[in-house]
Amino acid sequence: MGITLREIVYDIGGGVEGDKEFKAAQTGGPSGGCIPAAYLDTPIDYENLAALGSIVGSGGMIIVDEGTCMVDLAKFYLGFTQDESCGKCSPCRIGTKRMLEILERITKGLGKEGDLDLLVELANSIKASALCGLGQTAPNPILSTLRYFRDEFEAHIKDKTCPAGICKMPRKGLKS
Amino acid sequence: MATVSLTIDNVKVEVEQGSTILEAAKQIGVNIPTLCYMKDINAIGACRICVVEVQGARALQAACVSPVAEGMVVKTNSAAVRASRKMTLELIQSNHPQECNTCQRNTNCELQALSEAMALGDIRFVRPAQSHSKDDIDNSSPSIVRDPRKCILCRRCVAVCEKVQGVKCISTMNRGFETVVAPPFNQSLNDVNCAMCGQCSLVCPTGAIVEVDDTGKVWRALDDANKHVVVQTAPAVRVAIAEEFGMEPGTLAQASWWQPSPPRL
Ligand code: SF4
Ligand code: SF4
Ligand code: SF4
Ligand code: FES
Repeated sequence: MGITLREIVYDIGGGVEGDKEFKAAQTGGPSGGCIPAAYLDTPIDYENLAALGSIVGSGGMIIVDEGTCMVDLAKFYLGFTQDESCGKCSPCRIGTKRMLEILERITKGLGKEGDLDLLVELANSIKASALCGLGQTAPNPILSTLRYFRDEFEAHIKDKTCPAGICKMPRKGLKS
Repeated sequence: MATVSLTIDNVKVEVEQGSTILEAAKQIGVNIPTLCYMKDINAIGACRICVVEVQGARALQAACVSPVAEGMVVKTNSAAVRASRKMTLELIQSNHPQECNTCQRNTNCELQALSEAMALGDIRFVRPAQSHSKDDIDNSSPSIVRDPRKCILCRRCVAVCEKVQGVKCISTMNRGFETVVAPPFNQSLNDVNCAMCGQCSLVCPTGAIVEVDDTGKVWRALDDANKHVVVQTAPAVRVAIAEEFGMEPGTLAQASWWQPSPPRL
């Protein structure tokens, strides 16, 4: 507690592999959130992480470099929580599925205007209304990646490009 | 009787300790919409339609399962509450066939009525995946049809079958988006000990469990010039009809001249 993200990544962890650019740290597991490079010097504790829109959670920390697409990352985590949904309450059972579907569309270059607003609306609603902690925290990866990397989502939707070069997009010039 | 006082929509109310927010609201005439709740039989907080705002709580609370507490301040119709209910309803409808016109439940469906009352409007998802298809319809039973496409997983049927009828032949199977209410191992209703009492269809808020409609068969018999058609009502009708006349459930309605026949030995 109190140690900075930079110390963990560069001193303890020995930096990013291949000297690539640090992009973000996902803390707290799939229910947590991501922290971008701008906050590398934030001391890690419960309050600071919460203020950044993440959690300590499981205590896990995943560091991603410039080669990671944040939309793809959000999709990955959501795929996990969607799979873990027990199916008892409607917001989580259907809502995680719908959020995942929207992300899948976006990463295939089939995103459309309004998708991000709908995602945020869905995410906030599920957070507030799901029955248990899994559903209430499932939208976190979406909300936090959108908070810090909204431009990456927009590049997928408007320009049909994946800045990190991970998502397979329809060839430029083709109308989706 | 210990009581608790709380505030619901700016109205002070005193209720018995252990009551739920839903019951407390009812006491002052505040109607909170519900889907999965059934008094005394099913209070599981599953559909999340009854959510309300409780001051100081981290998330919205399901009124049907949340007990009241001293000094609680509840809002049942705030903007956050309305938005959440509408989104939940939109989600439910996004995994539901839009075929009210041809549904047995048309104009007598809680899901339909709620969607209308909440002015649901468009469902905004693009080609949302459906958890079940027409192939999943179970019409093996002579009396009951199950259509999982229309099931909202309120589990009211499961509760009534188990707790009231004591049969317990349907339950939830699978997990997450694939969850389905069905007989064990997805057998058909005809292959399990279903008593065909129809209680499940009575409590189902949608058209997911309905009685087999034999009207066509009756017409065919009536139209057949070579057939003499007689009507035989099921023996249980005299019980059902008694309730209609305000008698205790289970009372036999009978004419004054009618004598039960002596038991056959
Ligand atoms: S179950 Fe209700 S909402 Fe669904 S199709 Fe039938 S009438 Fe319409
Ligand atoms: S008809 Fe009766 S016994 Fe059969 S599933 Fe429905 S409630 Fe259970
Ligand atoms: S079949 Fe009807 S009563 Fe049973 S869980 Fe589905 S919607 Fe509810
Ligand atoms: S009625 Fe309360 S959660 Fe369904």
